[in-house]
Amino acid sequence: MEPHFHYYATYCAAYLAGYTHEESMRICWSAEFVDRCTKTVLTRIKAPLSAATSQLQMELMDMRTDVIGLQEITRIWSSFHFLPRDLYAEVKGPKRFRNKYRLLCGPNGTLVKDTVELAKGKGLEAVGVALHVVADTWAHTYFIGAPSLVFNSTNHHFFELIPDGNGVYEEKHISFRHNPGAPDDPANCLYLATLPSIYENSIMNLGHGRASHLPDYSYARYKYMPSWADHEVLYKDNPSDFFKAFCQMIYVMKYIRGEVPEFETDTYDYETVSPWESEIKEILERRQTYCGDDWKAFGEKLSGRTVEPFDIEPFVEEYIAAGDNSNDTVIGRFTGATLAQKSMVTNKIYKSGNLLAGYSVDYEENGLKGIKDYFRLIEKQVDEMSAGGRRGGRDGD
Amino acid sequence: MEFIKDGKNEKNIRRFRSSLSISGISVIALGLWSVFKSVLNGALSPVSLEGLTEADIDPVLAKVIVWTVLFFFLAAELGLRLFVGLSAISESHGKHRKPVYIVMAMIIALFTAISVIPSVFLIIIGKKYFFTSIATVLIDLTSLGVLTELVISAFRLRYCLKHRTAETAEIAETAEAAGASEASEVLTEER
Repeated sequence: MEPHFHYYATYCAAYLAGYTHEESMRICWSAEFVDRCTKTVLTRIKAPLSAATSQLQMELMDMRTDVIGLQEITRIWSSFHFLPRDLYAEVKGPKRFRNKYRLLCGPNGTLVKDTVELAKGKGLEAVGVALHVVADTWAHTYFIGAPSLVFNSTNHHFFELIPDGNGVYEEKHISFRHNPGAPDDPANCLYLATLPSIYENSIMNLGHGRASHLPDYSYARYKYMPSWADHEVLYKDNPSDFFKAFCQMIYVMKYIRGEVPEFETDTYDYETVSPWESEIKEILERRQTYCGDDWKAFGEKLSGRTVEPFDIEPFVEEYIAAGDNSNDTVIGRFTGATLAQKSMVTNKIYKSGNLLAGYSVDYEENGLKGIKDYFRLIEKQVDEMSAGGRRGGRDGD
Repeated sequence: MEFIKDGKNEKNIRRFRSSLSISGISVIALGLWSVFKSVLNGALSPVSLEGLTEADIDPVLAKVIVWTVLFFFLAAELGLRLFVGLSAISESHGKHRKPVYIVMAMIIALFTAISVIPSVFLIIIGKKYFFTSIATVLIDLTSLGVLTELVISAFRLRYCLKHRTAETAEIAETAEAAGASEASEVLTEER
């Protein structure tokens, strides 16, 4: 999803879910930081590099696409932006095809439930991370978080469906171009995409790069013919999906706050949203590539407070100044949450018999082996157990 | 996000258009290869006209004649392949084309099949041009396969398009009866 949704829309959802303005700001900051937390940022503040949740274009260009490089890419993108819907999906085809098919992103999978339950009781930063992951399952449906020509490519059969206001849709052909200097042009259906590549594991075929930012635009309704779907055509209705994502985010937060006893997938809090439904749908349907101002205005209307623009510097300074106690800072808790999320998703993928995200070490069986950054998760569990039980209650600490 | 249920016929139309497009590109590519191969052959193993006629021919003139004739044949072959390939690509994008290009494709396929025979013979006798002949046979068989695929795809596409209108109407009626969802409204008319 676009930054305006991860930041401002998440703020609105958090406020509607019952969080205060300050708590909502923390949650939406964390949700947005998932798109910004790269190795470059973490290196600068000397934070654990394994906590990276995104990769810059320059980082991706430097990535090797051998087995190890592909596993590292898949771990990041599948854990935070393209959460697999069904790791045990059955499909005819060779194992290589089946492994990638099982990484197809989609909403309301079992991993969504695992993500939400993992965030409960872990602080506001963990809530933000979980909300980012949940929101992206709606936007990035049917793409995978690994480089793949077969699963992520697009072709000439790509059409946008533009409503004329009377319930009739006009079909317009979408052209993708690679011109980084030129912005997306919705009026002429021209969008910036990655360069086409015939190699299966090319970085150009990662995620929805070949479909430009179209999956992230809330106004877009489009249909296209993915290579893996045997000439079937997929139809994506972003306004409807993004509205569901918004309502589901509120439900997720109510569960995390303890207002809902058990989390169930495919459940949405339409009731809380209903007084503002038409306003939200108007923002979603408005044909613009940047809706940040609309969401910001809506959020400020809800809370009566100013929603500050996204800024990482205050929390970077806090993290650096904290020294050995950096785990108790905002970024410290954020990296703890992302390490837990990445560890959980990688483990689930590994246990399904799929090595695309690499190996996952079972600490109980093999001891503390593997990447040292993740030892922190064990240390945290030990600390919690020795402190006399799990921290329960509401996430507001 | 959901799959559009527009029927098996529509799916086949997309499948055969895709196949036609790829075949068209392949026909052009193989045509370019054929030209390149012939030019390379002509440059590296020049034909000698000695003994072919009883008249004395100036060697330079002989060369000019050979290259001129070669040029016309190559131009004709490339032109035919371009016509066939571009027509196939155009039809794959929804434009209607007369069946002339399909007939041309069948003629080229026939000549390709015939040209395989001497190459196979050279492989069997196992003499001087053994490896070259194997390569030639493989390329010719590929070309034959591509042309066959093009012809079959063109015919099947036309068949599916002919039966398109009836099936589309049937699907639209079924969707209306079931309480059409928004997705079913995106069925397009025949372009």
